[in-house]
Amino acid sequence: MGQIRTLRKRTCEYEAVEALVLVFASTNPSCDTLPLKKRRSSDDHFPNLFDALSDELLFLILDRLDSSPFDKKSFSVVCRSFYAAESRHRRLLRPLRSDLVPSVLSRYPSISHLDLSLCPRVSDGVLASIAAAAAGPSLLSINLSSSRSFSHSGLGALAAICVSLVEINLSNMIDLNDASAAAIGRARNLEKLWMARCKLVTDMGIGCIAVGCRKLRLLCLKWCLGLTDLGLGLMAVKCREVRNLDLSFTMVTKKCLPAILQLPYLEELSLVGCPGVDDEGLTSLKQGCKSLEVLNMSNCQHVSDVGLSSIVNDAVSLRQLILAYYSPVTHSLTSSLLKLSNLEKVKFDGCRITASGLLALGNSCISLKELSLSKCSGVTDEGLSSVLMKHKGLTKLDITCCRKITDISIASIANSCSSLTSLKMESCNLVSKHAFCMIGERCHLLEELDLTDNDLDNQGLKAISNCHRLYILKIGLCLNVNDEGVIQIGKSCPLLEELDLYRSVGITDTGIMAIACGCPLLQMINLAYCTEITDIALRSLSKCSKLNTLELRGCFQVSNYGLAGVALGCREIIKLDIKKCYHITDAGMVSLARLCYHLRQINLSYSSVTEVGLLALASISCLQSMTILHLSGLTPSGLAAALLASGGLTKVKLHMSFKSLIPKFLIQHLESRGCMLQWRDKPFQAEVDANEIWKQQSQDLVATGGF
Amino acid sequence: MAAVTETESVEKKKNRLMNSSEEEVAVEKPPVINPMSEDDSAGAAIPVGNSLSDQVMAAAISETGETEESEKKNLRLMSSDGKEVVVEAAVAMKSQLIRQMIEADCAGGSDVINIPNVTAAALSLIFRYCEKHLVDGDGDKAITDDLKSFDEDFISVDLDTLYDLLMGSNYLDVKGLLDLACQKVADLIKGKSPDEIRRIFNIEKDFSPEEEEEVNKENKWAFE
Repeated sequence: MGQIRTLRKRTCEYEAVEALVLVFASTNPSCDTLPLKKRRSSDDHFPNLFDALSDELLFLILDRLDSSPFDKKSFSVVCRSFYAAESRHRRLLRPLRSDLVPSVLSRYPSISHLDLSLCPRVSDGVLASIAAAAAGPSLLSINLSSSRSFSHSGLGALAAICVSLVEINLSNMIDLNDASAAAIGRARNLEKLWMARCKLVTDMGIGCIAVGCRKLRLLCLKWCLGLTDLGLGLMAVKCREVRNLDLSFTMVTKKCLPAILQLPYLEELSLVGCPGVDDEGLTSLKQGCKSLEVLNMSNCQHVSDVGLSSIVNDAVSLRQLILAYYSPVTHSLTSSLLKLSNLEKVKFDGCRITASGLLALGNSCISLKELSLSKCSGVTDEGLSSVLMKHKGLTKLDITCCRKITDISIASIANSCSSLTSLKMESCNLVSKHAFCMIGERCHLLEELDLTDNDLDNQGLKAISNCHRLYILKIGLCLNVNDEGVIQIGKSCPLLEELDLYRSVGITDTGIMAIACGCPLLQMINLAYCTEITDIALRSLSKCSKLNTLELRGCFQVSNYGLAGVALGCREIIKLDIKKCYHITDAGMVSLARLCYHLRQINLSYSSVTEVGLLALASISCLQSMTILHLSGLTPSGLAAALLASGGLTKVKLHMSFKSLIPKFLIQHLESRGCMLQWRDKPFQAEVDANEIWKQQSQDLVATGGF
Repeated sequence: MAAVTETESVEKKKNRLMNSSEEEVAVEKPPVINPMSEDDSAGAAIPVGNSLSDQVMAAAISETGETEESEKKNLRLMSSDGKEVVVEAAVAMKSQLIRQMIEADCAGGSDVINIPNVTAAALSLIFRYCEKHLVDGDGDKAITDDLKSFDEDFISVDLDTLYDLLMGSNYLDVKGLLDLACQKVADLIKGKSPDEIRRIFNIEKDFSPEEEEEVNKENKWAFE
């Protein structure tokens, strides 16, 4: 019996497989044509094998072209079959012009994520056309956080037709009203909603959302000043699925806190800067929230240890506690954390912390992974060392601006925290240059290191080059560092992505060449006021094809020649600052315009660029932000033409003197297009600016050993 | 000992395949991957000396619970160009298609499995990959590194071979190799202009100049 059954089962399976094979062989044209193609390849000069790949295979290849938007675009222009495959494959679309959205959507029917953050103006018509597009009903997320000029009617169309929508970002819509909120309430499947700074929405609006969107899991209502306890309480009662709730800078008070803390799945709660949250309200809570994992109560002026411990006591699942700018961190607070066995991350940024408070943190039995004491006053060697001794598993430590600590603290970091991956210690001025050698020798796993404004020297930097996994290194304002140390970094840290050398006046082309050779993954480099830098350094940086941010402010020796090298090699440049690069002219802008299609932000102040250069830049379609103060060759009519031609601009900083010289209707037109013009009245600083005076002073200090 | 000569002969074959895109490769006699003529088929069971492969195969078979097949270690496949390829079952079963066929018993007895879409040359290359990847080496850095360098070397082939590997691994459902081949094609495309891509893959432009201009414009201005 059993045998027969197995046999029959097998026969069925066999039939199934056979049928599958037959179907595959008969429906897959690329398989059928294989022998034919092979024959063609043997006697033809153009084999054309790859244009006959099935969609399935082209999709697999497209999946692997995600690193740069460039590659997919190139792919789509190759031939018709590639174009068609790319059109069907794309899921995420980030349009540059809202007026072109309808036509692009007809090209891409499978879009599920639409990010309009590059379109400052999105009209109701555009929203309606999105809803009406083929992708409309299957759209999962839409980001409107940087867009304006739509209303409830556009949102209503979206909510009614795009029934699959689970994410909408409406942050920064300061004119969003209750009618729009009511429209959102019709998006029944919504799970994530961001409404930060929607100040006009009242309890009525949030009520519509609470009643309509029962599946909400994430809700951000930061800065929604129109809301009161009534609306927030209703939300807490209706949206029982909420996991992540941001009520920072709202008028929430003790009246609705109980309802919020009774949300059964609440995991993350932000109550930053809520004036209505106080000790009295917190202590009256009957029960805390057992599911809570992340709590941010920074900047709550009326909350002290008493209130906090009552909310924290029951929060047995708490993993992260953020208390920046909180009233003094004392013994009673830190000891109330002792019960939280899951606590991994604590931030006390900007707090005054008492010695006994730190000691209590050291005595706790929990094992922290991340600790931030950035800008804390009261952090002493003794206190910090006792904490570090207990928390040996620490992976991230931030002691920025802890100005009392000395080499003793650094020695305990080096001795206790060998698994540290991130250390931030900007401006720890009492730490001597010898201390950095200890870090380099002991903390080999460091990936992120901020030593800005410290007494670091070449010896220390060489020791730090032992951290082969470093990908972020900030050593700006370390005036004793020069090429010798930087060359060692270039040789030993091949994973480096971000390097900050702000005002490292000792760095020359030789140092930068070593970085360019040794760090092919470099994405960001800050060379501002590294005055020795010339075109040679820029030409060498063209090897770093991933570079997206380049700061050259005040590098007055660089010229168009160097910039052309960067443009040629670093096609992915997004942010460029060439303020006070006096030798850069229109020719430099032309090379940028021809090669760097991704440029979004540029600072050209004090350079020798004129309207010709600005007009050239207008051909960079995603250019959004431009600072153009003190361009001596710029005429009002040239400026007007350039601004008109650059349709994607959202922010332009320019000199007040032009305001009266450009026709008013033109300014109005630009503003209606979504471009913010920021008029500045800074006087022209001929040679020496405040920064340069500062630099001179610090150099004098170094020379006289005054540090 | 046998294993060494095997890999050598396959290596030679691979090289030859790389050099000769025009003539059809006549596959000779590597011990494991063994295409042979019809009249030779009686002596099909060539002993397989690789104990590791045996273990894996036993494991593969015990998974499916089909004990009767543990005696039969080799499979005979008929390629698209009419040549017979004999391959160790454990190696062939890295192909999900072949595995399913065997599990459904459609190879039954001494029947030859038809592989209508893959040539003998491509089959032997694909099985060479499968044989190497019988060991996963999860966790073991030395093995993972060895596999990585093997893969890198293995996929450095001319375009025709890459195409055959892509189509063959897709048809036979050898996921690792399909991923490797797709990644290779993607790497060839990265950072290239459309013209360069056309040149690399010998693709004719079938857009009219106006259409191409239109697509280029939209790509540049309409979205990121």
